[in-house]
Amino acid sequence: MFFCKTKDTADGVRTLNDLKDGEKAVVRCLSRSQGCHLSKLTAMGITPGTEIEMLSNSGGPLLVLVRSSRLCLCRSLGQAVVVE
Amino acid sequence: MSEAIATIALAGNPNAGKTTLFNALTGSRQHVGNYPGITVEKKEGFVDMPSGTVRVIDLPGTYSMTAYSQEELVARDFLVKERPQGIINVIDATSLERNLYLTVQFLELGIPVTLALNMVDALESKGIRIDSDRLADLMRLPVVRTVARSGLGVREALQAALTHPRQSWEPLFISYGPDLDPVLGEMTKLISNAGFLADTYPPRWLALKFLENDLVVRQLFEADYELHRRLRDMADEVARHCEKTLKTQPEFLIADYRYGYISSILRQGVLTVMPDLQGRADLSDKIDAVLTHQVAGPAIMLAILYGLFSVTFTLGEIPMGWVETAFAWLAELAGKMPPGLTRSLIIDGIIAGVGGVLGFVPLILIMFLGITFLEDSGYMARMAYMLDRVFRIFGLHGSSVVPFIISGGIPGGCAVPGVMAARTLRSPKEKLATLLTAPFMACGAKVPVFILLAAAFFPEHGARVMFLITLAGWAAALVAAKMMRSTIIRGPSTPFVMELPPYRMPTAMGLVLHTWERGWQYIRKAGTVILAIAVLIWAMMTFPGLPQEIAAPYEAEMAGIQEQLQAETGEAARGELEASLAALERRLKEEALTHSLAGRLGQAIEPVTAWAGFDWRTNIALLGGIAAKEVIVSTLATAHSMSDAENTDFAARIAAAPGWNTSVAVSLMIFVLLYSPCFVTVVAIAREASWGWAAFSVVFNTAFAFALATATYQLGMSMGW
Repeated sequence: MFFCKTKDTADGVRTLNDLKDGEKAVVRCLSRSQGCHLSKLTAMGITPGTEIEMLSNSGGPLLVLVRSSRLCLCRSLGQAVVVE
Repeated sequence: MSEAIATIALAGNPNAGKTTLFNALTGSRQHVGNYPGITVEKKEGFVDMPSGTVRVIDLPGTYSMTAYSQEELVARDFLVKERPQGIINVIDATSLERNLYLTVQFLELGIPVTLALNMVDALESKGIRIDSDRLADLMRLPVVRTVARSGLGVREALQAALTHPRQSWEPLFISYGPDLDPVLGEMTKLISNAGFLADTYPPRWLALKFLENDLVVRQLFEADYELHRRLRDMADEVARHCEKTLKTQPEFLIADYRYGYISSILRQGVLTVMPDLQGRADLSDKIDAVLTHQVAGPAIMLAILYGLFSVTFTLGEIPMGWVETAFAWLAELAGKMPPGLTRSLIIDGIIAGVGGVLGFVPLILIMFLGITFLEDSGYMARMAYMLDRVFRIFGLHGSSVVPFIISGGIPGGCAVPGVMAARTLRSPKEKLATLLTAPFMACGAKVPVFILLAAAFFPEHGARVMFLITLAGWAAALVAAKMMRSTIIRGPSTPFVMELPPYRMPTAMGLVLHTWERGWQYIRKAGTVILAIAVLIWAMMTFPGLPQEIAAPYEAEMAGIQEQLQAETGEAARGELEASLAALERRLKEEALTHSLAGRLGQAIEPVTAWAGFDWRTNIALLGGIAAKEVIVSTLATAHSMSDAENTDFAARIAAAPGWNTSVAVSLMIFVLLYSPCFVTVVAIAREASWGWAAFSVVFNTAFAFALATATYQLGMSMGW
C-alpha cells in the first residue's frame, strides 16, 4: 500500500537518503509526515514498487533516476521515501 | 485572420516537448499573453489545415491536475471553461508511464485526447519499444508518433485530434477499489441528482476531486450548503476508514489506482524494455558526470555565467553603437527645428529618454538568447540543483536561482519576468523571500548607470566594476533573504522536487521565438511606460518656466555680447566672447532647472541625500528611476545637458562635474543597485504576493540601499577617495 505502517518507519528502515551513489532500490512506501508534497512525488512517478536509482547523494539535494526521468529532491522528502 | 474552425489545446508534462511541438505547428503565427489576473503565460497560435484554420493553445506544463499550483489550475480551468474540441497530450515517450498519469486525469475529465508520442527517436537507444497501435486500442484514443524537433508527425497529430472518433466529452471510468468505489458511487449519484455544475464538470470527477481534498472544487460546493455538508461527511468518513485500515489517505489511494490502471495497460504488450540496455548510461548522464560534479560543477557554472556575461557585452557593444548613432542622427535632425518647447520635448524628452532605453535592446536580446539557451538545453535546472545547497543556508530554494538570474543575476536581466518566474516556487515563504530580493540584481536598466559611472571614474576597469557590482547584488539578495527568513518570514524550508530534463540541443526556432518574446516585452515597455515617464520628467524639469525678472538680465547681457560678437573681427577676442556667451547660457539653463518642479523637489530632499553624497540633480534622476530604472541615465543626461551647452562626452562631463568624486560614484552605484524596485516590478510583486508586500519592498529596499550607500560614502570621504 501507499503509506507506511508504523512498523515500516521503525528505526533501521532505509530511506532514499541512505542510498549511495549508483545504488538501486525499490520504493516500499511513503511515510506520511510531508503531507501534500507527497502528491507531487506521486505525480512525478515516485510510487511504491517503483525502481529508483540514486545518481548523486552527497549531502545536498538528492538526484535520482525514476521511471527514466531524473528528479532532484530535497533531503526532507528523501527521508519520507522508504526503500528496500 | 479567418475564423478558426476548431480549438485544440496542447497539454502535457513539463519538458515533454510541448512547446517545441507548438512552435513546429504554428511557426511565427503565435501570440504570447498572460491569463487575466495571473502571471502564467498564455500561448496561442493558428495553423492552416485542409479543413480550415485551427486555433492551438499551448497550456502550461503540469504533472497532474490538482489545485496545488497556478499552472495546474490554469490548464484545468481552460479545459472546462473553454471546452476545446480536443487536446493533444504531448508525451515524452521515454518516460511513458509517468506521462500517462496526467493523460488518465484528462480522460477522467472526459475531453477527447490524442496522444502525441514525442521523442520516439530516442527510444531505440534507451532500449524501449512501444506498440503504439496496441496503446491506441487499449486506451481507445488516437496515438501519433512524433519528433517535434524535426517536425515529424506534428501535423498528423493535429489532424488526428481534429478527426478524433469521439467528438463529444465522455469521462473514463476507473475503478478505485473496494474502499473508495462505493462511496465514490454514492457521491457521484448525489452530485448528479442535484444537477450540480452539470454543464461544466462530470459528476464522478467532482466526487474524485472532493475526495482528493481539492480546495478549489470544495469551494465550488460551498454554493450548495446542504450538498456540501453531506459530501464532506462522506469524505471524512472514508478518510477515517482509510486511515484506520490502510494507514493512508484517499488522495494517495487514488494516485495508486491510477498508476495501477496505467501499468495494467502497459503490461499488455504496449511497453517492452530491453533490460540489457537499461543500465547503460546515456549521453545526459555522461554530461552530468562532469557538469554537476561536486568540485568541477560549480567551477564550470561560474565559468559559464562569466562567459555568457562577457559575450553579451562584447557582442552587444557593436549593435548598441548602431542604435546610438541612429538616435544621435535623429536628434540632429530634430535640432533643425526652430528652438522652443516642442524641440526641447522631442530632443531632451523623447529622444533622450526612449533612445537611452532602446540603446539596450541589442544587449538584452543577446542576453535573453543566452538565458533561453541555458533554459532550453536543460542546464538551468542543473544550476538550481547545484545551488540549492548554498541557497538553503539563506532560507531560499535552489529554484530561486532562476528568478535571480532572470532578474539580473547575470547583468542585463529584468526583475519583472524575474519576479514572475518566482511563481514556479511552490513554497510560499521561499517564494516571498525570492520575490522581495530578486530586484536587488543588476537588471538591464541599471546596467547603463554602472557603465556610465565606471567609464567616468574607473576607466579601463569597466568589466571588473560590472563583475563586482554583480557579486554585490547577489550578496545583498542573499543577506537580505536571510534577514527576512529569520524575522518577518520565518519558518522551516519547504520540501521540493523537480525534474532535471535530459540535455537537449535547443532548436533554432525555439531560441529565436523565446528571445523575441522577451525582447519584445522590453521594447513595448520602452514605447509605452518609459516614453510616458520620459515626457513627464521632461515636463517636471521644464515647468514652471523661469520668471521674466530672473531671465531678463541674462538675456540682456547675452544680447549685448551677441552684438559685440557681430562687430568684433579679431580671432582671439571672438573666442573669448563666445566662451562667455556659452557660460551665460549655461547659467541661465541651470537657473531654469533649479526653478523647475523637479529641481525644487530634488533640492528639498538634498539635505538628507547629501549624507550619501547625492546632489539635487542626482535626486531627480533617482526619483525618476522609481518609475523605471532606464530613466536614471537619461535624466542625469538631461539634467546635465540642460545646464551644459558643450557637447563633450557625457561620462567625461560627469567626472568633471562639481560635487562628483569616486566616493559619490561608488555610493550611487550601490544605491541604484539596491533601492526601490521600479514601478512595473512593484506591480508584479503585488500580483505575486500582495500590495502590502509590494509597499514593503519599496520602503525596505530604499532604506537598505540608503543605509549602505551612506556608509560607503562616509567611509570613502573619510579615506579621502
